[in-house]
Amino acid sequence: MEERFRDYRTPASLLVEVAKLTAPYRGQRDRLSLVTTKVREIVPVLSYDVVSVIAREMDIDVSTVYGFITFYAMLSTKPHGKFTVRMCKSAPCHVNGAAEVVRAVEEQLGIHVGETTEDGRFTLEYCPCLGMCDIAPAIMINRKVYGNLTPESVRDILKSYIRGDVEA
Amino acid sequence: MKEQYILLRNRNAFESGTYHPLEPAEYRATGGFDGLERALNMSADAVIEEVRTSGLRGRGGAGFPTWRKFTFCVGDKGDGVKYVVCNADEGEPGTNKDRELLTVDPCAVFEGMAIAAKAIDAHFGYIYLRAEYSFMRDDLRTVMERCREQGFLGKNILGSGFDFDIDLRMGNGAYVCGEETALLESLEGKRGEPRLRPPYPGDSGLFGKPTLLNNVETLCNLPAIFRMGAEQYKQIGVPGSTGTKLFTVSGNVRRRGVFEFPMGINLKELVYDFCGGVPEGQKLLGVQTGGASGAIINASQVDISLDIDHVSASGGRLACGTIMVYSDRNCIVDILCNNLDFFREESCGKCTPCREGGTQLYHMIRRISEGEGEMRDLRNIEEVCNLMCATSRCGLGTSATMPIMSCLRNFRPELISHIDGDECPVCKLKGGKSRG
Repeated sequence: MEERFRDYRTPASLLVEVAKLTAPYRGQRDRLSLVTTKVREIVPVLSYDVVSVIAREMDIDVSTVYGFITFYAMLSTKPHGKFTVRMCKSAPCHVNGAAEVVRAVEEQLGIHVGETTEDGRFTLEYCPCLGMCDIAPAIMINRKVYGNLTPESVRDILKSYIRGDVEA
Repeated sequence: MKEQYILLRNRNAFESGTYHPLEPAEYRATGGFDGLERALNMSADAVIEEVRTSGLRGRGGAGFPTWRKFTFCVGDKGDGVKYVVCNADEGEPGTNKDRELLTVDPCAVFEGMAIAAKAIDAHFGYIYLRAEYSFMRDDLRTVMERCREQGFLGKNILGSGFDFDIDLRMGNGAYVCGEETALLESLEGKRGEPRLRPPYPGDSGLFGKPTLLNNVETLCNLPAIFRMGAEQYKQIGVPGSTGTKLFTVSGNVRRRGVFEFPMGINLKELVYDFCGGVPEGQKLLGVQTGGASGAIINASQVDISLDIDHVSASGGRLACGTIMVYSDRNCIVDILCNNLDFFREESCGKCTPCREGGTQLYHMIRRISEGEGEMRDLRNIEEVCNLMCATSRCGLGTSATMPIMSCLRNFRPELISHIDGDECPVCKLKGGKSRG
């Protein structure tokens, strides 16, 4: 894991952007969440290079930033697609047919949960309760929520993303 | 059986499009900030006394008396800087009441925080919003800014000379951050791992300062208490559990959603009469109150009163008012497996009983669900649960044992038949390889 984390290379031009974005928060440890979230939006992966720049600019240890990123479900040191599809895994969705919806998504995207499509557009993840229990089963694509899903309706939703009708 | 809207009093107007939550002036016109205005004209002691009279208890899980939490932060401590933190990290599976409150009346949350600030003499607060609700972030920032412009937040609130401002901070996806000290760690930009207590947040909380931490719904009750007066407020509900409670009903039930009722309503009536029971052709298997960390009761036990003490006495907890309804299309062992999988993943890993115990519980139940279980697993489960309850660092380790311990009591025949029965009809239907 550690080696893979170090393997991803990030272009120098992007690292400059990361530094620019992070610099204003130097010495403000409590803004680490904001910084990592913002940085994640401009880089394809929170690589060792990226994490090092964040650590240097905020004046904290690399291990501290790495520890932060790997603790939280919404952050990761693995590459992520342009769209992250999050499948609610909790009981209210589970008892309302979430398993069939997951299968439909996996088939449609041609990947399993935890993977990213080869073209780098979609990442599929499980996540704990989305708080959308009144419209279970539900999924979240980036910051958008879809509920009352069936295998058919989720295929239509994904189609609109695949065709590029929806902006990131 | 009728809903009683106190906290959601603007919901009907909102749903019909005539009420706009992002306009503080419209909130004001419905009696909003009246409670704050009254509180600002009272002494801090009198504010706390009013909350005490109201009988308000925390709506986040533990049901701790709100006024007592206030008193922990009162008095001269250090440099005088104190914080009010609103816990909007609504992570409990099956719960979305706080989302509803923040959508319908965000100003009520700010007002509640300002009243709490007045009580403990704090001048700054944070709202910690879970990452899954990030779609609400921009709206909340907008309405916060409008409140500042119109004198409901910031310097000299409502011309009273009292200053109070709020900042919104986002979580990054961690159930454990709903635990108060883990939330504070997360707010400080650290891993959300619970702290050892003492010191308690009332003495040393956020950035080492005295901190008052309350759930969204608890804070939303404060404006109502000060608007109508504590004496009138405590007439609602039952003695020991006053006021209304928001219930999130989900699962295999005809009518799902967030509903507001006085404390002490009957669970059976809520599920059958108000929510229409389970879908056609299905039978009730059980109900889980309090989310994934709550007890699961069987169909014969649902005739109980939903107030904090009653539910606790029956071995469960009312907690955040989550009602998950399961029909006989589900196998109880499969539901347990789902519950334990959740806790296994959400344990922060800092203390061994929760990290290892949760994993062992999951594997034992998994084995039973796949028909590979043995009777001694049940004894081992009980032993692990007792150890976790006694030695976990925070409530997560204790909570994880609630569904399984309650199932050992309430669904013992089902568990045993999964171990040595012939075949579980439900699991077989779903393609499981269960023999039991």
